[in-house]
Amino acid sequence: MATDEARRSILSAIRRNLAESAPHDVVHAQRHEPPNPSQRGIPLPVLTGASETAAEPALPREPLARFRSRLEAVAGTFTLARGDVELSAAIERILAATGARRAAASDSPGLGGAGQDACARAGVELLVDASPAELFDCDVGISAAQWGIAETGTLVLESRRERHRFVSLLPRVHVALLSADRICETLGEALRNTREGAASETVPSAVITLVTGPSRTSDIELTLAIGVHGPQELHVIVTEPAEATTVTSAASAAETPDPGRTP
Amino acid sequence: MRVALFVTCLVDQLWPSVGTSTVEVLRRVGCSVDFDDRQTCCGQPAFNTGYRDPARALARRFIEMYEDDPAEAIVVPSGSCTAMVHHYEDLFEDSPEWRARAREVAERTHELSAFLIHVLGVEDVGASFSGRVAWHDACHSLRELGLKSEPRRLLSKVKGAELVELANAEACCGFGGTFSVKYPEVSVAIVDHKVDAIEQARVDAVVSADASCLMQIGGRLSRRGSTVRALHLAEVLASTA
Amino acid sequence: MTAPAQTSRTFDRNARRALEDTQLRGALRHATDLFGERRRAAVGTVTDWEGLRTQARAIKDETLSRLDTYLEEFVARAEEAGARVHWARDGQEACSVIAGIARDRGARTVVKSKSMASEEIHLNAALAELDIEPIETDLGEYIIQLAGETPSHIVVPAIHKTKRQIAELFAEKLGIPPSEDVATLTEAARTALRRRFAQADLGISGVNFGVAETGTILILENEGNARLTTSLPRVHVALMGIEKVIPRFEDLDVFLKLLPRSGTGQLLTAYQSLITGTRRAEGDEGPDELHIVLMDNGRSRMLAHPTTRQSLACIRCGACLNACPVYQQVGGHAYGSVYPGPIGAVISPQLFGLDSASQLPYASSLCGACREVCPVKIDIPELLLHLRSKVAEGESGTEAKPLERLSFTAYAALMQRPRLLAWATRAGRMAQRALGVGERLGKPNAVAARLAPPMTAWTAERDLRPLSPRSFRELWREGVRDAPDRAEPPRATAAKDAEG
Repeated sequence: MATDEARRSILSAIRRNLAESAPHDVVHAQRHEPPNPSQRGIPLPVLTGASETAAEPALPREPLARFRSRLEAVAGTFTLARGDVELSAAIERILAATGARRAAASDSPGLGGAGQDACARAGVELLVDASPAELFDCDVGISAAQWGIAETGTLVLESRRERHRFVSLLPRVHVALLSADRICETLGEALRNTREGAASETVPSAVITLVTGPSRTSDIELTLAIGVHGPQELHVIVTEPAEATTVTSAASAAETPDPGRTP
Repeated sequence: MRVALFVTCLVDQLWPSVGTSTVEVLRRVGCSVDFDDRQTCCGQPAFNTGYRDPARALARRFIEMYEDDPAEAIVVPSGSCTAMVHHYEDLFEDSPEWRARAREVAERTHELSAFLIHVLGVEDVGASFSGRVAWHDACHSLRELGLKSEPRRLLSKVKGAELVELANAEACCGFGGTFSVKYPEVSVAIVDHKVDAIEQARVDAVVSADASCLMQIGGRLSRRGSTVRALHLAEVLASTA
Repeated sequence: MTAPAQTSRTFDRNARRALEDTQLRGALRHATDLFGERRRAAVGTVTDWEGLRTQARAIKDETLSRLDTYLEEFVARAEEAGARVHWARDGQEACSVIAGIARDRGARTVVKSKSMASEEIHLNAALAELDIEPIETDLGEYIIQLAGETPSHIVVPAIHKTKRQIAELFAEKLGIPPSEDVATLTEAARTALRRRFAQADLGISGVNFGVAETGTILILENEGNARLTTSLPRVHVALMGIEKVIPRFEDLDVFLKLLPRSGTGQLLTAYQSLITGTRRAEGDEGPDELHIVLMDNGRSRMLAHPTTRQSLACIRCGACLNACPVYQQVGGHAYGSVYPGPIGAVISPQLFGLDSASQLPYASSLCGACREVCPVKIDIPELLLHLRSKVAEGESGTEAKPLERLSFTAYAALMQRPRLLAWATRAGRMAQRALGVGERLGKPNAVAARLAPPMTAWTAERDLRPLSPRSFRELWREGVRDAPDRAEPPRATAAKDAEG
């Protein structure tokens, strides 16, 4: 077969070329690298006109608050919902705000009744198990996300856990539910989490999708446009059990600081 | 300290005041200066244009000249020539012996500001120069030798000099050796970007450690009718005006 | 090897033309400044950026030193997960494989997400011969395709086009009323392309990284078109250069920290798709088939020397383009290659032949800004110098330049004979005086300037410093060598006198 021949040829070309390089590799490894000015440890004197790189505003330390901060920085919206009643109300608010007529939900068990309730109250038609053709005509897609990443405000969608590949992509609005206890600190941690699970599941999902904000482009004169081929709006509803905990209360309070508290 | 001066072919023939200024500064800070008049060129023009055999011949010459020199340091008023010396070992891939000799000589070869700051530990060389000056980071000095704060610290100690930071101090001047005449329009477009920033900074002089950059920047400044002067670091440091 | 555009032979002419295009220059200045600022800000969010670069380069070096092993592991895992892997020695073979897949599946509507490798092999042209026109879905590529042009930047392909030009283009090709409102233009593209996505039977994508450990391919994007291209059609074809493989799944973390920050100043692009084989169960979403085309096309040859091997570490972020003083002035089209800018100047000659792109290694001032911003620490200046030595040696059919070679041989001979050099400079000074070239820093006269092309090239727009009446070595002999107070230090006014 042509591809076998090509394979043999390419692999042997690789080996042959690496062998040809071998005598040069030793000498090359001894070359010195140019020293980096910033590593010399000698501070610059203060000069007129020198511009200072603006220090990044301090990010909240708590993962949930950091997730929110990063998500909002990429034009995603954040809502915290404790319990099914708040969740349903949050979904309803988003449906109303987006003027949706037709919504679709993934097969995530977490959506359960809350999605149906919200759509019923908002007078929005809800499709479940929608085909791509139907999804093209939906205004809102509702799914869960398997993980969140605090350092970047990212959602992680694993195709083996849920059928949300199209529901999170085709409608103009994507509403994603994320459980607060599934927010990791870092991308590395999230990637590791996707590898864990049942012993037989060392192979990753057919597709893992990382979503950071709505779709965007700057291809036209470097002017940012939000909403290209993917969703134009991303609304993340972080869910917690109905019993509020002090940690998360503090997190949501961090947004509106209490003037009476000592900083 | 006893130092050997490698003055560079460009300074020797086109800009000798840089040489005399370098000598003046080194003496002022307590060095005795030797000048081996067999010196010519470090070989950079040939190397940069791809002609490694001529470059190798000049590298051997430099190494042979200086490896037995009793001076503790070879001081060079040029970042690009110093960087070339540090790259000599790349020309001797086939000879471990020459690579070792090249490395040994390179270790003793220092650009002027690096020598003052890192070898002598001196920042104030007793200079005075009244006027606003801006520093241009020559590419080899900045990126091959890692020098950024050193010349600025030296200039900040010059009495009467107001050191201003250019908006694009680190941007290339567009010289690049034969690049400047192989692609002259591009070279000029690049230096115009630098000269625009110099004019915006409203300085009396632009200062750098490489005569080639100063030739490029100075040549464009004067063609554009600017009164801003292009001065070498050594000239400013030697100044007692 | 696929023949490159002839224009890569004429960088000097292309550059001159580009410099006359004030709109292009303004767009380039704006874009490169903006990307530079954003990159700097994004780099500032990482505590140990240098450590990250070192780590990434180490991963790439490890991979390249055992590229055959890692490729075989990648293929084994990908095939276990349901992908079909095809190997292609060159662009022609890759085009043929992809065309075969399209033809066999009766594909009529083919959508394509961004793939530099596909531009490298002129895939669209090859498919057009079978009456298959893949529709570019990345907005910048879509604009270029409608305009019949080639991309001018790795990340922002239509950077050279104004809103007005795009508005006119869309009005003509999409039949919409002309509008320079970016949201309106974007919406028009979205609507037009959505129809195609819905009909598409085959999707072609590139690959940013291929993970050997799991057989996963990763695709980064912002628009969502790659997600659509790789999930809606029944068949997905992914074109992957052999250098894209990395050893472990966890290595993705390192590159995902570096690539978006370096390229666009983002912490992460809007979407990353990590695709491992095909869907697991019948009812699952996604294509029926995944074909990965592993392409060499000159890459294995770059392994033959450590200097050239680092070319394969490139992750196509585009940071070097934005940092390059030459690219900033002339843009991508001047390079006449699908890969422009600093990285383009070194891989284009290697992929397409040194003789066809022999000017490119010289189209640089060797400033090193590219090396400074490269997330995988490719020493591009070292590579440029390496390629220049190959051109100077007349390798690969490059035109040797006998006059240039002679002048450097003569220069070296002169520089090894100081007394001869001294004589030559004395002669030069006499000639200078005879030709009326003043001792001032000024323009040499017309006769002098025309004596040698390099001189004219300089003096057209810059004043030239003349040979000094007395060289340093003469001054040294006359007394600089003696007592320290003999040498007059240049005062602020004295320096003026010396010049004039």
